[in-house]
Amino acid sequence: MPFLPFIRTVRKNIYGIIILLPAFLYLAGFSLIILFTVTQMAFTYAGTEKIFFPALQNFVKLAQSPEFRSALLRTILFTVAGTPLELLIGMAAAFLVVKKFKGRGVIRSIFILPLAIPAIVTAIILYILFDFPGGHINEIIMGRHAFFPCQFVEYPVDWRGSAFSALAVSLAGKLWRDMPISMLIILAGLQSIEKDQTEAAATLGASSFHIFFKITIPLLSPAIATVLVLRSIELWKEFIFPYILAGSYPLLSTLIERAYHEWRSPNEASAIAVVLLVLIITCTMCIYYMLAYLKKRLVRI
Amino acid sequence: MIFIVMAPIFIMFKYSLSDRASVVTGGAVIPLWPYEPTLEQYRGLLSADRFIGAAITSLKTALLAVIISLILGVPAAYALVRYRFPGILVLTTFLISIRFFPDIVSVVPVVEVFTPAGLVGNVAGVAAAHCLLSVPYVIFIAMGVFESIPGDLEEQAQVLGAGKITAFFTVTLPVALPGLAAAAIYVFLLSWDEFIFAYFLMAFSDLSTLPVLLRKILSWTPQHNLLAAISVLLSIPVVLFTFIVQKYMRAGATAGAVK
Amino acid sequence: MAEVRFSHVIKKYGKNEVVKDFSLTIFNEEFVTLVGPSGCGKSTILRMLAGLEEITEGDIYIDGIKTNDIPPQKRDVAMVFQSYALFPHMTVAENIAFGLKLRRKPQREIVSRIEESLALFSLRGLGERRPRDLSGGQRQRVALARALVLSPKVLLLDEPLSNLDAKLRLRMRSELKRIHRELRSTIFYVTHDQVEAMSLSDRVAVMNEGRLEQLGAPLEIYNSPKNTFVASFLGSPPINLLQARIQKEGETLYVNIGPCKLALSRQFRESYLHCAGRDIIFGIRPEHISIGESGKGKPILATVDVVEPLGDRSIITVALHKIELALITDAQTISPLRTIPIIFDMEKAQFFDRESGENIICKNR
Repeated sequence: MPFLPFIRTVRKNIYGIIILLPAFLYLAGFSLIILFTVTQMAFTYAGTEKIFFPALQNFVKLAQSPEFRSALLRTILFTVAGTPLELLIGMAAAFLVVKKFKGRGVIRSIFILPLAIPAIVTAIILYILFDFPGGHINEIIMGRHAFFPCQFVEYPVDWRGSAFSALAVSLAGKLWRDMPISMLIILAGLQSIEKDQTEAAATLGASSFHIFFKITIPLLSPAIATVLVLRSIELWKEFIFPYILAGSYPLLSTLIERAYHEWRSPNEASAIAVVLLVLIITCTMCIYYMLAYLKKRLVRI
Repeated sequence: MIFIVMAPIFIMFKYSLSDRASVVTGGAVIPLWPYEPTLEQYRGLLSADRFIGAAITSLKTALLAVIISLILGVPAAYALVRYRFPGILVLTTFLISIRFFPDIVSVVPVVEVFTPAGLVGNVAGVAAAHCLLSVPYVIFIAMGVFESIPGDLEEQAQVLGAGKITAFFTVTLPVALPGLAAAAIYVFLLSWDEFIFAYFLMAFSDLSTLPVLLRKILSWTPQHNLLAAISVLLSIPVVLFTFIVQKYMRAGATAGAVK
Repeated sequence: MAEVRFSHVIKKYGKNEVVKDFSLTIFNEEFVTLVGPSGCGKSTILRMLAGLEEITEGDIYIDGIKTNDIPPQKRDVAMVFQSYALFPHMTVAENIAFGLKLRRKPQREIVSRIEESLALFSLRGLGERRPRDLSGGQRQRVALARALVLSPKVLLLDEPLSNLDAKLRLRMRSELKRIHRELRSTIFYVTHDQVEAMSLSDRVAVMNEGRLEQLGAPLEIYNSPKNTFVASFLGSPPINLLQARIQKEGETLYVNIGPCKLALSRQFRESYLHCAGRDIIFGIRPEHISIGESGKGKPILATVDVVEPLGDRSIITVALHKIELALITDAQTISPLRTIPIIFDMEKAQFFDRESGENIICKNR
């Protein structure tokens, strides 16, 4: 009876299984339905007379559309530029507050503040700040405020009017809001490095430059890996900032919204979603293996 | 860095207090501090049905999401911590990592599935979608809470004469309560902030949560001071709760229980 | 109070057998200690008796009733955990009342029982405190009070003293002994500390790797250990175990340790005669080696290596032809590198089989 041990395990843990089941069914069922629906829709093509399934038409149509291709390019650039910046800003903030000094608690609380401002609010603030023609930023760089006498430009910049500046502002917003998360992860990593280790290195005659690159950074690498993986996923799927601030220059995520609400094409929206999902999974795996490889190399040296 | 962190928040407050002349300057420089600070915007909002309605919708959604997530997540977390059966590690990883699933990818199928189920344009649908995001978090936080409570306490209660269920309700649950409150607050904030699901599920209805209301107002190119005032009101509970949760998490729930 | 009987109890985790064929009877009002190194399965036995762990094979009886399938809350045993497991959200009084309330005792009785036990454990005036506001010793006493207020059939103690500092541990040890004398409870005590085991118990059970090695009164086990494990587990500093060989020359038996040759007195001749010519392990406790010329037996010269003064006496490590030996002396003037004469008290020495580690005398008995 091969089922006997199984039945025994079930009976022994029956209460555990019963109380676990609702959450499991909800999450697993929900995700299955989502995955199933999104794939089914992406591979369904609603022709004028007939509905085709499975069909690749949605993808073909997308590949031919310049809008999709530029959105794909923008998304890749957005993520590639944003991920290292997220890491650097998080590290800078973490190194600032890891040392003990007077008022550190207050500074730390201030640094956590962006997390407590809803993303949409942050986006709205940036919308106001970078408004055209009359935003604060424009007035500052035009030298209209007394405290900033330098005049960079003569005419106000239409921040939302060019792909580069619109996405740069979106990225700035994203970085601002995410800074505490990266900071907290790096901070946790820093605090787990024992003071003994750096002090031991110092007594052995290592310079602080050496200590940083030979001890702190390698020991911090799990935290860095976490930041890179989590933040890159976040950047791929970022929606609110580009949606509010770069409406005319969609990324894949905002293109999904446009396909769904403006083109009224749920199938194309799903196809974009599938492309995005595949991108995220591939990129996450790449980063993961790259880091594993790097770690191996680091250990060998 | 402090300046960069604080500047946008300052700007938000400043605009929310601005009088009309400090916003619509007709080409003149926008002042760094309003000419005549006024609470007019807030007064207007707090008597506007549309805003109050959205706030109530937000509140209802968030509370519903909290209730569902806790009912689903807390027992599951307890089972994952206290029971040991084969495959439980894989199961835990799976359940928790669902939170990494990109929301923007799932939003289209969710709307498509929810529409025939009558879950579009109402609070229940948005709350149900928010639970997809929040249940993994609740499981994660509650697992940490239950792990920090030594199994000894429950076993001791049993040896002293309590059944398994009595032991849970008289000992484990009361000790876990502060941590679970943190989880509840977390879910509340997550739902309160959430934009994508709420927007897709409420885009074509009269109902809006506060973030959705902000977006809908934005398309009429409204005055900056109005946007800022809504933003402040939307942020206040989040800022408050975030710092409360921090404090709760630091106060070790089991201090003095062992050793 | 009651009698507890383990009958051929086995505990397996998967294929891993952590308790092997364990049989033991704890008599009414007896204080029995289970002692052994960590991971030897002693806590598992305690938890099986409490009902917190399933029994794979065998039976446990309390007062002659088989308890294998009775849930912990109905066994009428009480247990004090190593961590004390005080309920942090309840006051001391509420902690003590917990079991009484579950047994639906009348309120008036609960109040008077709490008062009594607060007095008994010198916790008077602390009833309203929370566990986190108590010192380590007070927490320990609350845990004991909470268990004993139920007048359980058996009191189980799982390393109750290990979280206390050394001074407090000594005090709680005598306190425990007093409580046992006053309440006449049946106590089953688990510890890895051999001093606690020796000083507290009526009988000691020594465990190793899931097996019960030896059971008996403390001094009986100390003086005639069944094997090298038991011999070296009890006593600090531990017994000296030396490779040796028994040889017969004429009518006398000799023990050869390296180049040294020690004569065995006549009274042991019979017991060890059959071992003549065999390799054995020679065991002698540090306190059974004395320094000086006088005494029974011939002195041997050894070089002092390390001296560890403890105040009233010193532990001295000497080298005897490259063999290290520990001994205890109250002499204060010994310094390292000196050569001193030492005498083994051969009457107290133990002889173990080289292969099995079993005590040669015990086996023959």
